[in-house]
Amino acid sequence: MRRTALLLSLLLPLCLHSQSSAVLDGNVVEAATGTPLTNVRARIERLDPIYAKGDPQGHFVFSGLTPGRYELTVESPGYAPLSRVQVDLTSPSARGSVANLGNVKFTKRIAEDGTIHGTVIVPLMGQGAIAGRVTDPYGLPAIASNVEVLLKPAGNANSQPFVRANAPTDDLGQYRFSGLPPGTYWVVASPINRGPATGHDSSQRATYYPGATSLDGASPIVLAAGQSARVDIQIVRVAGVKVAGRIIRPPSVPDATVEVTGAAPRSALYTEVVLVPQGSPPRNMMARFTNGQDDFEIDDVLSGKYTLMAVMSNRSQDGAAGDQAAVAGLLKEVEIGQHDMAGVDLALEPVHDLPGEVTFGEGCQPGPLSIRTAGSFPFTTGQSRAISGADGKFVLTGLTAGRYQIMASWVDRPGPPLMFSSARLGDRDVLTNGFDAPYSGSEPLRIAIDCHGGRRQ
Amino acid sequence: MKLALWMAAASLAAGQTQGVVVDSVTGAPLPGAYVSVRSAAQTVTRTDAAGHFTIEGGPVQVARAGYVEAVNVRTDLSGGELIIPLTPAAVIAGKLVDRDGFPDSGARVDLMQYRILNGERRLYSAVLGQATQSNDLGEFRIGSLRPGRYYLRVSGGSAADWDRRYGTQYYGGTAEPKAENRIEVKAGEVHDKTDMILAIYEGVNVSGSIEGLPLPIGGGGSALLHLANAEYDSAHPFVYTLRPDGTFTIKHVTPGKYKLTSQSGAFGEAGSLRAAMPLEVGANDVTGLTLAVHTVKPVDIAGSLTLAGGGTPAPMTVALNGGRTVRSEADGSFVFKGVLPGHYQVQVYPDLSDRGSAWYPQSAILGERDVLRTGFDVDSEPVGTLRITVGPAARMDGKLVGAAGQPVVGVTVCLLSSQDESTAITHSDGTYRSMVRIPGAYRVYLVSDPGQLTDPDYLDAHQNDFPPVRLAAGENPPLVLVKK
Repeated sequence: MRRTALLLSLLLPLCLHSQSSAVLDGNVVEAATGTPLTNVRARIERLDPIYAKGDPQGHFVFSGLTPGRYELTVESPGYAPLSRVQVDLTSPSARGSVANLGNVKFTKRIAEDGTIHGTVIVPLMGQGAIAGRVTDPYGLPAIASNVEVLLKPAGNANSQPFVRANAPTDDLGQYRFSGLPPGTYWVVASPINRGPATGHDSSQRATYYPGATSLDGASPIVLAAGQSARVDIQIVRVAGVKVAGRIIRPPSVPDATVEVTGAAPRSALYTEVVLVPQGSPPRNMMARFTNGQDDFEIDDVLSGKYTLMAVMSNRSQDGAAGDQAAVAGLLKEVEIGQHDMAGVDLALEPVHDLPGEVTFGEGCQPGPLSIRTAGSFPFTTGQSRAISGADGKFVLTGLTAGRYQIMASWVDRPGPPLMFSSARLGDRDVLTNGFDAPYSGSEPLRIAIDCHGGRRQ
Repeated sequence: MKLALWMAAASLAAGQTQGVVVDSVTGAPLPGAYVSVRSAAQTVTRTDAAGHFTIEGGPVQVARAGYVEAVNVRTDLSGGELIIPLTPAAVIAGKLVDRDGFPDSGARVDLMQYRILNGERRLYSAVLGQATQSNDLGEFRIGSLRPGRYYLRVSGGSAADWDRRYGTQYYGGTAEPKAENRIEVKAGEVHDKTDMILAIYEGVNVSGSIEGLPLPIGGGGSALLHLANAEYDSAHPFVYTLRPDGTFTIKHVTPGKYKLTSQSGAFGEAGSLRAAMPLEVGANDVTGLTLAVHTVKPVDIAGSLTLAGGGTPAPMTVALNGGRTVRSEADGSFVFKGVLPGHYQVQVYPDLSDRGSAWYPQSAILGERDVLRTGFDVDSEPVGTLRITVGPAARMDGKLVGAAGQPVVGVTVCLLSSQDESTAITHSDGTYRSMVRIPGAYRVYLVSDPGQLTDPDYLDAHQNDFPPVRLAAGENPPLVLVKK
């Protein structure tokens, strides 16, 4: 009997608490300074959402809640929101609890009336913005121009900037990027892009702020937390040289024609010739499309080092758009100077299957591998996949002309992509430079697998 | 001056076009406009200080900041200088806030107009290309607009993300378009105080369950439900998650016609599981819906092309939804392989690069039905053979003159029927050339801006300005129009 009474007295507070209610209150502060934010609101969700607007001191309260687990979201214009953080408003131990939910400090106690009382301190990080106006070389607004903001990842001096966001300009040439974390940015505006319906002036260049045609000459914009910058860009006009040459169809690829209603048949072989400037991300690419013709000309090419890519496809085949069979191609490094270049003859190679061979290093239990290629923009986006046999041999089929990276994983064993100790095609180090298809040599793609850690995952 | 122009025209090389770009309201010449020809060489030029240009080939596109771009202006009429009027562009801009005064960022802002298509009056997005989104301050700006009347519609965005009751709504805060809230802009007008405080709609609950999916749902991948507004915005459905037991409740659905779909698994050999049903939501909760899934797989669609009156046309390009294309064989046959479930429109182009050619599809029969204008649905079942008949287009030359017989220049002549339309700008000698796909009876309109053709009220008011004209296949006798 005494035991039961004791048990009851232990249980009683629990029962009371389970019938009691809960309160969550919070203070929202600026992460950098700890100062209260003046314009905040919060939402908690269990079954249906409940909303609370903060007072001018950045304080909000939810009261009369059913004890339970909630998801808390807090926002304030100009700040990165706190999104769906789990807040446990079930009964705490008698002494209360303190927890860190990410940057949010969460304390919980039981008030004298038995109410579960949770308190959060929510620091929000100010977000930056870059806005400005783009004009054409004549000073008129550049409408529907594509503007990109590039961000250099923090912490790695060697990493390349990547495109963080892009946006079109409005009818005044204005653009705005918001929600930018602190960092180092570049802004690049492409010449008026009215889509395929209109031509464009090939001497107008994608222009990096303040007026460079490549990242090298561009000025970075450094944003601190919550800082904004105005970046105006005038598209520059730089004349270039003419690059001309001839496309030489490999003898093994037959010509093909398509019928044309009421006209002579014409060649179905299209060749796209693209000059891709070296450096990343590539800008100011130039392309020409030839239809059954041998000659190509690219106007207005800036001096510099390029990779020239030619892909010949046969459009007499049926297939979904973009699915026309590539029949030949070429990748070639070229350097363009200050003068027109003629006679850039492109002896295309027929696309063909690429045989390969896997060898296993010491301590490796050989087994079948799944070998995959990945093309990277702008050097094709094609893919190919092969399984190596018991002798380590494989054949990559359906490779379109382009530049490819290579990956491998076990077919019969789970795990991350394998380490290579080397991958070579002829005298080319495929791990560093990828490989180019079509390949004109006769050696297979040689892959060596290292089971103790290699050069690349 | 006139003589000098004439001499300049006479010295033009074959295939060259000379013209002048002017402001359609004031008639003033426009310097610095980009004039371009879509061709392999992508030629482009700018107008000089007097608005003049010379360019090789045609048709031309003309663009200048502050004006509505003119596309596909035909240049293939000899005799005189081409006058291209550009309409000063209007702007609609404003700021969106929710009821807390917080900016509604990332909201999709559409300007809608009623159009009559296939005999049906419906709201369509009036702005081509990328949809406008409000920025982080809730501001939006839509420029390069033709003058006209627009319904402004707001959907998605941070407000809807914060509170689902901020549903799709129109300027004025109504869930449906209301004529009194439409925005009228004149040529060149900037309507930049189009601010909105978003309204909240409780709407109703739509609930039910899905049948035929393995339970619990969500274990093997996505199990999503899409609710698309079938009247206004079928391309941007709302997405919901099914509960593990296969039931769902969608809250805050505003009245209207919807399509409810669910699809799981990728298309492939095994196919995909799909369910779809139309849904009409009124003032009350919708409960007890049952969505039954069935397996859908890609299908092959075979078809044939024949000439009207018999015979097989030279190979042409057949396209589904403007994207997937196949070429017909010498015997007129074609096959689309692996077509995924969906709604498809079929088009026929006589040649890959020559979409302005004089052959047009007259009918596309699938089963017993002509699907050329209605399109057709593909589910998992074979759809049968698609029999397409192509015939010659109807062409007509003409001239627009004033009461005294003088040529009227730079006016858009439009031929319109419920099935097809053609627009042409009159040249400096008043001539124009029309071409329509489908022979038949057409009404004739003169418009100062092509945007008026999308305005049913304008069309009603002007439908008897000229007697209707009947166009036969092939060349038709010239039509002289007298402008009053």
